[in-house]
Amino acid sequence: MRNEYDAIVIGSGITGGWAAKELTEAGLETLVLEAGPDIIPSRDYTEHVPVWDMRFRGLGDRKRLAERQAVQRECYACDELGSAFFVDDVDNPYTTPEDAPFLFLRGRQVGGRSIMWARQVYRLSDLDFEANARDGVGIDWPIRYADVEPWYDHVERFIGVSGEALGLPHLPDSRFLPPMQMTCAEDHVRRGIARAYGNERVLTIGRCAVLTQDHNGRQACHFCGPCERGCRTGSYFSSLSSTLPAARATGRMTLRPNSVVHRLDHRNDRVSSVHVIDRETGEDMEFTGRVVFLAASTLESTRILLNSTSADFPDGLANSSGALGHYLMDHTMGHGAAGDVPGYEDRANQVRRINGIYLPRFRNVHDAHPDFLRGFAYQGGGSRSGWGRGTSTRGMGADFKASLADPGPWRMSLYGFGECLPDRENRIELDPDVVDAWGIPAMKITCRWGDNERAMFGDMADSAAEMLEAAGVRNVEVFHEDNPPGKTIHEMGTARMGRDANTSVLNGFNQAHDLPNLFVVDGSCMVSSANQNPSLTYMALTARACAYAVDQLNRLEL
Amino acid sequence: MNRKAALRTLATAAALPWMAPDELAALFDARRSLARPEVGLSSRAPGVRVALTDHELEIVGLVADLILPRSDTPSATDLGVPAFVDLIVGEWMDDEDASEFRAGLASLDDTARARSGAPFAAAPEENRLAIVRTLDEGLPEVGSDAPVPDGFYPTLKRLVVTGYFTTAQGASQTGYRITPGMYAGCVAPGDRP
Repeated sequence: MRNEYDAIVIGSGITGGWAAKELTEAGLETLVLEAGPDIIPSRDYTEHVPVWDMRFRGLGDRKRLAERQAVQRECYACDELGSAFFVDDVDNPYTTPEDAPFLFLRGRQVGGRSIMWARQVYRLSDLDFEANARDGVGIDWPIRYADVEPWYDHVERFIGVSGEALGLPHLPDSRFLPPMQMTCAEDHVRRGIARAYGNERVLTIGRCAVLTQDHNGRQACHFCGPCERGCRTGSYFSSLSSTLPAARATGRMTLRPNSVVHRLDHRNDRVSSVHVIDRETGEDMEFTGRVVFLAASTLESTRILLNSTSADFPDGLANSSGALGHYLMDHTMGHGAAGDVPGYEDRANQVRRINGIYLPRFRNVHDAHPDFLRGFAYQGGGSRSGWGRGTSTRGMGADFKASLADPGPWRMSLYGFGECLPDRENRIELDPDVVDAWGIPAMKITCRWGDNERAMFGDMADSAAEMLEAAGVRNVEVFHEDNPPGKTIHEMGTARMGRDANTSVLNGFNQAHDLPNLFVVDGSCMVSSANQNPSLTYMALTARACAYAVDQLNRLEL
Repeated sequence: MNRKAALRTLATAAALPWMAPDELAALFDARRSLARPEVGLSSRAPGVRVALTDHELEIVGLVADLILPRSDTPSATDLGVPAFVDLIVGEWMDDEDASEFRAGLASLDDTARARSGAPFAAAPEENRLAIVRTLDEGLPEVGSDAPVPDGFYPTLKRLVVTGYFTTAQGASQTGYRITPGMYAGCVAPGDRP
């Protein structure tokens, strides 16, 4: 196997796949190093396995999960079959302070979490890109919406995003395929909210990277349900369905799974070699590239840099600023309200839509809330319960059994997702006492919700309840889940971009200030978190960074 | 603002925001309902009786068929629910929960003996029905705010209903299709793809 390439991409997940596609399509011989095993959809995807063919009927192999995936099982997608796509916690440990739990939920295979993600995609706007500068929190983003807009277009044209155009400046519309249908309850609440709040608040269908019509050679979704177990029709976006095949088609991609990158070496201000341990054999190997793209995911990319110390970089490669590892963020979630929707007894929704509703942020858009900066949005949905209601309610006999075959009452819920401010104390560092199964130092993750995050919890729930009641929903109750950081699986930051090399790791093109041939393109680059699901932004920034890197290479700047 | 706050279990918290009242969430709920740290893997082969005695299985079958009797659709025992309960007790529950569950089955014998002089399986049918009905009435009505109690009978009920509707036959009664083909948000139940 050759050792020298034009480009090396570390990671094959949602951003690694994009780097592979963009760089190979631009003519670069590209090595993609993935720490985990290869995934073969015909062998590994299990979305059509019926529940009666599962050993524990979907309850999961609880004892095995407790032994090997005690953390990963906290994710809804790490279930009886989906657990195959999540890491082994024993082999991949991390630590946290005792009083500050963090759930680090992830996979480690070709495709990464792009197999299991919830597929929700929303653009950021200048309300988000200008927020730090306006609020005096963190550092200013070195880019604005105008810089990213053509790349959102570029990504969406390729991946296919379904949704409804709203014309909201602070939640820019994507290039949409037809939106999925709302249920009766959702449409009812949508109309009620529109009546009560006018244009200020709008309930829409979720914007998701799922095809509602055939697109770019991929088939429209057939709504079987468990996307997180794979999709052999490629109907939702994942590296495996979309970007990696495009890269492969150029003939310029070499994909090497089972390649655990543990260190990057440098010579002066260039990354010189990428050190790999083979996941299965333990063999050491080295690769070089004119340009190196780190796309191992937010925390794993930063971990590689922290593990790449040298005389020039005693605190981690590319870390002359001291910012590496710091300003970790995640979205808050789990505060909202739910209730019973009257009427529509003769109507039902199909059970598995694989998408919910979305209610965009309305706080601190036109007004200034007295208690907190930034804002939150809602996901959620309205549906009729299935037979599952019979597992915990009163009823026996033939009539009870027959009743479970019919849909139950309509319920509607609004579930808040809140922005998280950047805080230097929220950080990762290497744990001197813990290594993973390959002997590589593990991370210690320290992350706590701050005052601004907590200040939103009450309003998230109360506003949801107020809106539901205004729409005629009955028996409305608020709820507050005590979710630790990490649970939302939107962890970002720790290698933030910025204009000033003294306070940031990367410039506005995801290029390391210290090493121009190093690009870090996953969520680690984020300067603020916004409240929107971040993956679309990661993909757009990746495509933009690749174009810049190629341009720099062509100008012989690299 | 004084609002009633719903008691949210970790289970319902952990599903996707739009999945709430749905069989997927119920499965997840059941999966998390007995969360306790434990160690050890089971090495028993599938399909082999794992935990319950003949006597205990008989009780499970009788209770299961009171909850889901044969009508124009099969009963719980017709669809093999007792074997599913046996598997869960033997390979899924931890030792403490399994003991508690089996003690619950034994308590049905105690209750039956107190009322009729005979253990549960030999007691008159109306006695068995009355015993189970009393237990079942401890569960909340559909749509109620009351929290679901823990314990032997709620666990058994959860396993019986789950074990029934996760069979091919049980699922077919609900109109379940693996690949519906399209999504319909608001149609007559029979018109769902």
